[in-house]
Amino acid sequence: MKIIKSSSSGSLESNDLLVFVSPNSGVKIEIDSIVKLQFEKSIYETILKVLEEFEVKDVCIKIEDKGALDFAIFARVKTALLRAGEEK
Amino acid sequence: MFEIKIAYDFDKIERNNAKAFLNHFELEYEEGIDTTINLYINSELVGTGSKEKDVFKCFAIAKSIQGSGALSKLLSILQSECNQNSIFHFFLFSKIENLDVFEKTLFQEVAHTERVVLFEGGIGRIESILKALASKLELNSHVKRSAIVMNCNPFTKGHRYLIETASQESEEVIVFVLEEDLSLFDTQSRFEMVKLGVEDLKNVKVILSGEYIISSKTFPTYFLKKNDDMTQVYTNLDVTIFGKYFCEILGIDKRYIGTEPNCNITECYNLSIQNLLPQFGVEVKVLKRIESAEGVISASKVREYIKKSEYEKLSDMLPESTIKFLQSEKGRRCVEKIQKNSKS
Repeated sequence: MKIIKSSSSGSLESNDLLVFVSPNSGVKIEIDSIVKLQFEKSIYETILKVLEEFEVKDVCIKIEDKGALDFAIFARVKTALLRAGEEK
Repeated sequence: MFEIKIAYDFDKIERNNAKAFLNHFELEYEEGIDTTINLYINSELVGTGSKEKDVFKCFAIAKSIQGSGALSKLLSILQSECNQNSIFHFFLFSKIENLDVFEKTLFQEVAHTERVVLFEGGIGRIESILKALASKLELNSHVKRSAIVMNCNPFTKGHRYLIETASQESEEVIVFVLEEDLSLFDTQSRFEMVKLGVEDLKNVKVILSGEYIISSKTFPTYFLKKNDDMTQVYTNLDVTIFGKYFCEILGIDKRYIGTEPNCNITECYNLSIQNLLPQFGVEVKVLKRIESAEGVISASKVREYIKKSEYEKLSDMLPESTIKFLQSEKGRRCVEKIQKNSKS
């Protein structure tokens, strides 16, 4: 999938997260989380998993996490990508 | 938990509720707001937040529910309102006392002064935007350059003199033309006039100033010409941003300004520049305004003459290039606009 515009998904409510996606060259991931210390790596891996599934090579992803669980992160990132991307 | 009401600019009832609520906190409901979010519990208003285009403002939350996620709720809704209008980069002003309140949300600090903080959130950070600008302009990182910020409404011999002097005294000059489109001459026309006016000066680059110099974000009252005790607060913020980011990323070590005998707001801005920029290792050069037969050259006087159709007085104040521009089709449209407009 090619990212052609900016998009976002999610919210800042507790146990949710806000995802911003925008076009970029290469993959750039910025994570801000209330549980960054404990779970940054796991959040990172979840995002990479979504990117892999959609074969996204060029994207900037920014996350404001309020303690979302893995599947919520997965779903929010997926939604943001689908809003910003164009299937090949 | 909350009942949410989203009010656009035609919803008088919700807006008045927000206004009254803000008054309890000695806050003002500002003009120009396009969206207001009100939160109710048992039909009692407990929180409000608004935005004007991409600037979030006028937040207040009742003491009793602070810390219950009301702010996150307001920000989430405003954020998604922005996204629906394809705005992904937004700003927020706050008093310095509330720095940590907003820092824990989706915002990062751009800069602060003694009294206010400017935050930005979403996609885009000032550093990356300026770095992209530096590489777009192909700036050589070994060269030190001078900067001038001007509105050029319209471009006069005074502007030309300032740029020319800087061009002679520096290796390179960047001229920032204010991008906010709130002046009688529209942004594109002003930009064009400057470009034409300094075509012969090879070491001068003319660019639009972007969102971080005298814009609705850094200095919202500049274009209202409203001078109150907030003016100094905004000018300090604007200059701090310039010193903290522009000078370092774009390799600026001098800023040129012209003396300001007429306009208090610009005078205040100049003062901030002289007070604050040296702290960032930037030299400030103040040039005295040049005079013509009609007195000190100023763009506001030029607009006055245009308004009164006293064209013969213009040749003294305007360079050849601007006069040519005024005769072009675009220029004539600007002249018409000035003559129709009540403010000068």
